[in-house]
Order: sequence, then C-alpha cells, then structure tokens
Amino acid sequence: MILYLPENFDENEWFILASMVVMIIFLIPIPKRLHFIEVLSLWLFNIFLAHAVDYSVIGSPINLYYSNDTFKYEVFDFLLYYFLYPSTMYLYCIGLTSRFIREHWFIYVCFASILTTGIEKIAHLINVFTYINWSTWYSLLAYIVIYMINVGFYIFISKQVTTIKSVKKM
Amino acid sequence: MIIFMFLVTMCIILIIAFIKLKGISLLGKILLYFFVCTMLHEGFIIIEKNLELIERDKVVFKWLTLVFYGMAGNPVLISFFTILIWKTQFRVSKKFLIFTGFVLFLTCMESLWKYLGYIHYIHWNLFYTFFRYSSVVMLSLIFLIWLEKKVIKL
Repeated sequence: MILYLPENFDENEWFILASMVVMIIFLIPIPKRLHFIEVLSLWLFNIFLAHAVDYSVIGSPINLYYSNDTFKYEVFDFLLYYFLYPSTMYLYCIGLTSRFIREHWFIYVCFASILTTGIEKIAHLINVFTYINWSTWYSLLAYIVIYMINVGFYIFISKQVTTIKSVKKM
Repeated sequence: MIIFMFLVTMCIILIIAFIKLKGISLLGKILLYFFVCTMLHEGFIIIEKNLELIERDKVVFKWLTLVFYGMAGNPVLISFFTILIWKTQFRVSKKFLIFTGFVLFLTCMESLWKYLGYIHYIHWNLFYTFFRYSSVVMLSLIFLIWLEKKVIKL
C-alpha cells in the first residue's frame, strides 16, 4: 500500500486531528503579514527538514524513534509532515515580524522550544511518537536548533524578497 | 572511505556550481532544491518502507553515505539540470534529448550504488528508477515554471 491507514483509530489519531483543528482556528484570524513566497519557502523548508530527519533516522541502524502506530509511512504521518510541522513554524515566524520579538529572539526561541517540547511530551504519552533511543531532553535541544535555523532562514528569505522587490522597482 | 571522500568533493563542486548558476534568483534555486528533496525523499520512503521494493544497506557508514548523497548530491544535481533544461535557448527536441540523457545519467548513478552494495533491489529494476527520476524532473520543471511566474508577480 502506498500510504498505510492507522492500525487502530485511537488517541494518537484523535490528537493529530484535534491539533489540526486548533491550528486552523489559530491561523484563520491572523493577519497575513508574510508574502506568499515567504510562506511557501517556510512551508517547503519545514517539510524538507522533517523529511530529511526521518529519512536519516527512521528504520536506520541508528533507530531513534517512530511516529504513530508503526515504522511504516501512514496517512497521519503525511498530515504531520505536510500540515502540522510547517503550520507551527509559520505561526512562529509570524511572531518574528514583530520588532520587539526580533530584538529578544533568543528568549522567543527558548520559549517556543519549551512549549513545543511540552506538547511533544503529551504526544509521546499518547503514542503519537514512540521513542527507542530518544528522550524528551534531546527533543528540547533539537527544537532549540530547529527554531534557530528557522529564525536564520526567515531573515534570509525576507532579505531575498526585499532585494527582488527593490530590483523590480528600479 | 575513498568513495565518501570523492562524493563529498563532487558535492562541494556541484553546490558551488549550482549557487553560481545564472538565470534564476538564489531564492528560486533554494526553493527548487527543497521541492526536489521533498519529492525524492517522499518517493524513496514510500518505495522503501511501505512498498518494500528497495532496501538500503544497514551498515552505518553505507547508510550515512547514501543519506549524504540523498541530501546533497542527487537533489542539487536534479535542480541544476532542471534549471539548465528550462533556461537554455535550445529547441524542444534538443531539450528532450538533454532531459533523456540526464535521467539516464541519474539512473546509472543509482545502478552504481546498487553495484557497490549500498542499495538492494527486491522487486525493483532500473526501468522503474528511470521512470521515477523522469517524473521527479518533470514535476520539478513544472514547479520551476510556476515559481518563476510567482516571482515575476512579486
């Protein structure tokens, strides 16, 4: 089968669905502060990050964790990769458009990392993630790195978009 | 180790050439790279884990070499040639020839990995690999054309 359906439709699937609904509720009223190209870049970058990590880790000799019911690639993994991870980072980068947050970016990174690690801990308890050689503390470190990369990437693409716009105006 | 060092050197040269390539903005190149990477990984994960048609060797060093090739070598090569196919001023028939030659080259690269024992084919053959790479290059061409229109509208 190309994409597996969940073995049992239980709490981990409900958790993903509920998170998606919460994310949509958060996303709808937010004013669109980012340009379409910036949103597309963030979306693609975070899909790439998630895929790259799982491509290197899951099922490999260095078995660290897997998501949902099995090692296989499931429909709910697809939802995680293509909607939940990128939309979280999109929300995070909308925060970066505020000047106050940009000035205190490291506190923002730490706050976002702790919050995401807390959510991941809940997800782990209800079997969205099954750890093999992994722990929540590693996740905290990984999230700090990922959020910092996202700050760097966001600054880079916003500069690129500004450059392209200024070249076109000339 | 020699294979890995050769691969790293080739990838660095390729990445520098890709960054220096003219005709498209750096943002466009990066987006194309992410798109190609996502397509390749998505396809490979489905083929390897769900359909169980290919298997990567479980030796850590071989695994990491393939991961490196899958992140730096293959996607950069595909993005590079996609931009070349789209941006060069050749006739469609000549572009089609370049496209076919390039996909054949990618297929040969994968057959080399198979020959070296990094990948094991279970119910898979080189024609499927050819078909897979053709679809990835076609999709990335479509994405590049769409992206150019979006960047023009910026």
